[in-house]
Amino acid sequence: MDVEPGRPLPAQALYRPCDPEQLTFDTTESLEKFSEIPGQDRAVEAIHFATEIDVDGHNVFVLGPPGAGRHTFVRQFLEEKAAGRAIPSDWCYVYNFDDPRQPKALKMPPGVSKELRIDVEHAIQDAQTAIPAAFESEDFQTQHEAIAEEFKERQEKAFKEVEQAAGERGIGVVQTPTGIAFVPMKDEEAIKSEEFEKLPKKQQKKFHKDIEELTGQLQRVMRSTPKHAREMRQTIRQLEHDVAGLAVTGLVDELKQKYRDIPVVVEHLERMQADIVDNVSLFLRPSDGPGLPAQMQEILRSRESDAMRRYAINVLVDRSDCEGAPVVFEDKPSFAELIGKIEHEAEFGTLMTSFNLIRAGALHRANGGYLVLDVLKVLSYPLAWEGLKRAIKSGELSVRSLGDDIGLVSTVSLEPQPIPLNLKVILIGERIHYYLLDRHDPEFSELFKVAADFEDQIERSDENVEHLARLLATVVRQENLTHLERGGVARLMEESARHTGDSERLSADIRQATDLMREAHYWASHNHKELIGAEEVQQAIDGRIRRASRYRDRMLEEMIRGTLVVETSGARVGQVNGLAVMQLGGFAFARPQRITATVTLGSGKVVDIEREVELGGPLHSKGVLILAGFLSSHYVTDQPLCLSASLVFEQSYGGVDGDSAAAGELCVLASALAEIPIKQSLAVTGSMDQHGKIQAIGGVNEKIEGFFDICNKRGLSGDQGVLIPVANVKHLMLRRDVIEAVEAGQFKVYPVDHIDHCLELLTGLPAGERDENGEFPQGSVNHKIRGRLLDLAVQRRAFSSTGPAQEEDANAGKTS
Amino acid sequence: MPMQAKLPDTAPRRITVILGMGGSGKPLLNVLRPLLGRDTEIDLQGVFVEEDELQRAAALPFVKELCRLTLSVREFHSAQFERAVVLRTRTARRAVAEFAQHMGVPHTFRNFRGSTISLLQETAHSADITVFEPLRMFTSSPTPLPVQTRRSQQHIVVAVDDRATAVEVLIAATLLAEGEMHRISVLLPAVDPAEQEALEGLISDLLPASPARVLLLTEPGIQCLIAAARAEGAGMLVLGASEELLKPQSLRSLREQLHCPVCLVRQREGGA
Repeated sequence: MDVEPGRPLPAQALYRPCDPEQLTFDTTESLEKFSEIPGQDRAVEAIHFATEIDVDGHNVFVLGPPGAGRHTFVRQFLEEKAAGRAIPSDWCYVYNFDDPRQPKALKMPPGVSKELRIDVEHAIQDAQTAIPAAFESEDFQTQHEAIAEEFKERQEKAFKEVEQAAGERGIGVVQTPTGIAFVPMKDEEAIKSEEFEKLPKKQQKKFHKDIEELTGQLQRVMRSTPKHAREMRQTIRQLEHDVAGLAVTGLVDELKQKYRDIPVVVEHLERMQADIVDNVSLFLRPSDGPGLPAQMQEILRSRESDAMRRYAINVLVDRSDCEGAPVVFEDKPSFAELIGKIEHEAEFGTLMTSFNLIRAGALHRANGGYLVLDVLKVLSYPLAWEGLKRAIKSGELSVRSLGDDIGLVSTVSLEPQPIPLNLKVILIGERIHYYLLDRHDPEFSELFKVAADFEDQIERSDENVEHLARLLATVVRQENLTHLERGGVARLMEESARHTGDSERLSADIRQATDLMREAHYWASHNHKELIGAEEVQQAIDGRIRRASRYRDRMLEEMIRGTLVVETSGARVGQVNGLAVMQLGGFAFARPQRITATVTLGSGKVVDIEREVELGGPLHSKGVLILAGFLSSHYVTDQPLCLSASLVFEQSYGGVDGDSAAAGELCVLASALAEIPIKQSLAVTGSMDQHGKIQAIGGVNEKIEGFFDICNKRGLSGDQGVLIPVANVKHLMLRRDVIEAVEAGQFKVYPVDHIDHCLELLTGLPAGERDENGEFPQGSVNHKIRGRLLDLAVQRRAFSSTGPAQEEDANAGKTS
Repeated sequence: MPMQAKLPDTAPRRITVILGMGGSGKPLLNVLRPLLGRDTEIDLQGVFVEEDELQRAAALPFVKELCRLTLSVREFHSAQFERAVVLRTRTARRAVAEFAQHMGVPHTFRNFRGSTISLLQETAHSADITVFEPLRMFTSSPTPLPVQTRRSQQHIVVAVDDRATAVEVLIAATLLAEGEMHRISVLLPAVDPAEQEALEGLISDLLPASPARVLLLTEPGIQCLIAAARAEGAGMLVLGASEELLKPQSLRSLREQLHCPVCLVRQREGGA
């Protein structure tokens, strides 16, 4: 459609309807399922590429606006992709017989680990019966006693020999409280001291000598005792070893045969078998601990046996239910949930752990497949991001507790053997997260080399409309909603375009459309309709606006009551209606706002009061500075700009940003300079370059509707309207009531592409173009502006000639 | 499994524990728990023996002692011996008092200076049951030796002479078996088949719930009895205090050759 700047737009230019007659279906019931995301080819290609390429670091960051269907698409895509891939291995942790602090990781074919765990448990349970039975058997006890008896007899024999040798010399052996002594005997009793004294010296000496010899002999016998005891213990140990070995061999051999194709399992079973034999006491029921309180004994009895704990298989990852590579969505990506954790048990006031308490994290579960994470959540949990990066970068997974990782916990813990890691991580986030990480984390670009960038908007083509309609039909079926007739679909498409703020685009925010459809489903049910029509969709839209528009309505009310001053008729010098868009939650609306300007003699400075009080943002300040540039370059290239102007958004109590008021600000400044009144029945929006060209702004629909609402409340006069940039005409998707007012000639929308158009429309005077002499025509707005600026320059020169002291005084006064 | 035999009114009432220089006596006292646990009218008497032979040895100026623990040779004289006696007596007295208090029975304690053999001969006639430990052999070691299996620790061996004295002995064994000693073996003397059958009938009457193992001694005499008890791996030997047994040589053999506590059961005149 041709647009003529400065001329009001026809009603058909204000809205691009979606004609239901152009749709190829009657209702969504006839539409096929659509599981893709329309118009996101770029992102889809990126994800496809990342999942195909088998190179380190090609993990994916899916970025885009919320509601664009990133999660749904990624889930569907990955699940389809994963289904065609091989099931990765199971992983278990087992006791490390060489170093118990470093539990051993066993890799097994998928689905085997659970079976192995049960088999080993049964074997240990059997051993817990078989070994004690073997040790309590008559044969074992007899052999054990025989070994002990042999030892005793050996000792007794040696002692008897000493005793006999002593007896032959008339010496007896007596047991003292702590040892053994040799005593001369008389009549089978120890000789008395006085009797001994009566013996001949020679005999006494002989006793002395004999006792010394016998003591030495006995000492040698007794010194040999520990050696003999060791031999006895060794023999008993060997007996126990043999008996336990026999009891356990059959059990373990059966398992070894069953798992003969998995060498790591066979090796572990062999080590387990040897360890059971070496630690047979684990299988023997201890007598109730003497001295232990009854409650403690009860606790000990209720505990899993030490043997079971030692030889159990801790299945970390079990793939028995998998039908392809895993796709794991972790909703709580804390450090522990990602990396895994080592739990502890309180045991009699002490925290204990073992390899059985190693728990898998999401990375374990996703190993060999895909892990999908919400980047904001990962970044929210302490050290989760660091842990994730470390795992990806190292290509292996070491389970550590968070306390250990940051050195807070000093208790003895485990260092499980790392597990090789091979997976694709898919982070989902918004663009700001991607760019912030890219900017501030050097490792990020190394690890996430593929960006899948979802569009905010998609082209409003027939194909995309049909795809969206099919997507809606898919959701209807999934959620058992009411189907839509094509009028309903058309209205949803129009609203989607309105949501983007562009009549030629559709919103990529699928959630917005589906949510609206769900609400329309409610209204269809409420209206006893079998299909959702345009009416229900409109009810849903109106309902949303109604629920969200409290603040807007109160604001409008205050304008009507005159608390907030916005004039919609008449004309004023130095005052124009600007339009500011406000976004509260998901609802955007515009507030008409008076912009006023004052001009005095000065040094060429345009003061942005919003900026001065720190209520104006940088973009707004930029727009104001452009004004100053435009004034000097457009009107007084041969003279200094000798004005002091101030601009303000009246009754603005919050921040102001953006440059969409630049055109309005220039117009109000021009009005103040030229002292030409501006029509208050018009509002203006548009940014402006230094040459006066009007540029596109955002929120054009809301801005027009905002001014229309206040005009409508006060009564439409036919003079009222809004000036918008020509570049924004294609964005127009205005409300039905606005369009009807335009059709009735009660309201106007003027496209403008140069500031001169604005000046003409707002003042009703010609703007005026320079002639060949560079002069603006008499009576034109521009002529008046230039005339005023030249006057100010003259005044400035005159003022300056009065002397520096006065100028300083004047400047000082101005500043104050 | 505790025994649940029907006991006649001939259960022991007076129990004497002979404590010596060897240790604290607590393990020996613990053996008596099942005897005391059921009857608070029992008198417990602890007797600490100060061997006169040791006193004489200590009086000899040149006698040296070979320490059982360190294997070092050191002086053994009266002063040192007396100190040891005082300390050991105090330990034994305390052990008996605490045990009796715990079991809720009255007790007495005395010292006996003389030979253990003569003390045994005396108490075997005055007490229903006399319990004593074997002499500590020089096989003591800094580390415990697994010379007794768990099974043997739970094993009571009963030696029966004849029908006249068997009842008291079997009752005592039955009571003792209510503690941690669960198994009972009975040693029968080499007697004629009729007497043997009668004894076996008595055993099955008194030990109905116990799968008692009955063994026949091939020869009379204490040596054969000791050998059989050792072969059975006895955790305790229970036997009647017959005249033959109370001979010094027999008692000496019991003390020196067995490795388990001995329970002498007084034989009532006329039998059961």
